[in-house]
Amino acid sequence: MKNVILIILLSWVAPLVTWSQMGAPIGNDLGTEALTEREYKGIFLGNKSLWNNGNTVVVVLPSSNSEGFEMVAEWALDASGFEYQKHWLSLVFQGRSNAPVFLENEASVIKYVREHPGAIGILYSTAPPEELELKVK
Amino acid sequence: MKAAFRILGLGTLLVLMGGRKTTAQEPVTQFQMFGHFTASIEQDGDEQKSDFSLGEHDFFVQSKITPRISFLSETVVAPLSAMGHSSADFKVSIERARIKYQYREWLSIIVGKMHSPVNYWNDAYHHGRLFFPTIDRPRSFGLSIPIHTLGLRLQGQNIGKMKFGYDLVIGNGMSANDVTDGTLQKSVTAAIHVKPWERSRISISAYRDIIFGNMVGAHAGHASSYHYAMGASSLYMGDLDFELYCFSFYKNRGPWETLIEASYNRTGVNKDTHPDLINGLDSLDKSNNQTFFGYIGRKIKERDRLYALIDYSHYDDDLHIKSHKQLKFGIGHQHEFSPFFKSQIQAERYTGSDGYRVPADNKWEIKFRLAYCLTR
Repeated sequence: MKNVILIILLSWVAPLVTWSQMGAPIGNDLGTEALTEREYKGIFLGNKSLWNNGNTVVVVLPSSNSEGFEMVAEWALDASGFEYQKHWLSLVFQGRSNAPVFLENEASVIKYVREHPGAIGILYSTAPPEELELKVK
Repeated sequence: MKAAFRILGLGTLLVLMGGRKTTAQEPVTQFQMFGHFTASIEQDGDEQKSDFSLGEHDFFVQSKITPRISFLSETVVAPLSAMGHSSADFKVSIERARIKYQYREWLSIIVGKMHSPVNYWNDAYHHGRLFFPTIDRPRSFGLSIPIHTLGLRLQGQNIGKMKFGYDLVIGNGMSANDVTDGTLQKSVTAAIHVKPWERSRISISAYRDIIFGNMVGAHAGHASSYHYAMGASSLYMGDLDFELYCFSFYKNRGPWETLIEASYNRTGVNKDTHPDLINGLDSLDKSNNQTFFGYIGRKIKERDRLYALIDYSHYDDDLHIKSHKQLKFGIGHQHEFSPFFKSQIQAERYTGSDGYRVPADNKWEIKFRLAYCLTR
């Protein structure tokens, strides 16, 4: 009986809870192939400027009107794409971070990361190329 | 002869190209323009007035020149407050122009003109009204906040789990202008902060300078009626020691946004530079001035926020700023049409205490502002 009540309660509450999930990170010459999710979040919030190998961090994001942008925002900032855009605008204006690179779609993100050492992106709807794929510790 | 020039030109081009390795080192430059329009209506005692005003237009440039070297500038075109009808009644001012070299996460070296990192507002909002949580800056910006410093800054940020950061600045003082300081004396700023939560910052800072001849230049607080006027018989003309200590708390989490700016400031007769003057002024000792600004806002919809503010300043026995005790409080509403365009409407009550050189405020004001950012 207890289990039945628990299942009913869970099925009632579950639709009210949303999990913002991390996509598949990709990067090029970052000096590491695995980071914790917390570290990834920090990078996508503009909290890191240099990789340990000396390359500068270049955050590559999908266009602000894309679904992927909303998903990164919910995962990294726990807020909407609207707030995430304001977050970056403010950070760059303060002079405390370089501006991220915005690209039209995930194919462009992969192409850019492949061509730029230090670049990091995150994919939600495209499988990450093996040579760029990063792991989560 | 022509062939010689061609060879010389080609050689120069090759030397210039020699430093470029990959496309990742191509300079990336971003241009933005921030601006605002304001309308207000006020009742000051028995007097009523209303205004439409054109605000500052701020051209912002950020360029990543090399992976580790970046440039940032803000050039502001603002209408002069004086009455006039000609298009020449504007001033152009370079508010920020700085080059930053990022050595490590814990050390960047910055040179140029920058906003003094004494408190959160001055370090984060600068001239971008789009970011201002309230329509006006805290009153302390027209009193004792040294807005700019032209000099050298060492900066570290996001160090460790608490995202510790520091700023150490040495530069031209409050009496200097953008070309020269003219003395060996330099202003010194030391500030530290932590960011215990994302979109938060808690900071403390100390600033020290000498105000020569009690006159400030390009880097001091914005001019206000609280400053002693040049030529006034009440103006003390000697040098002043100036100390400022600030505390800031900012948090934007969930529906709530909070900002607290508190400062404690002292000025006193500089005993080293004018020992002959101090006899009659010793009794003044050092002033004890305080300011407090509090803001709290709550989202009522995704793009709408209601907020309240309080702004208090108390200066007494100060040789640089006229003594006063003033209080402003108000409520407002903000609507964001997009991340680049917003409106604010604010109702304010100005009040204060009598018995000081500046009479108590007694004013009501309603302000409306449109603020925007153009970007590419």
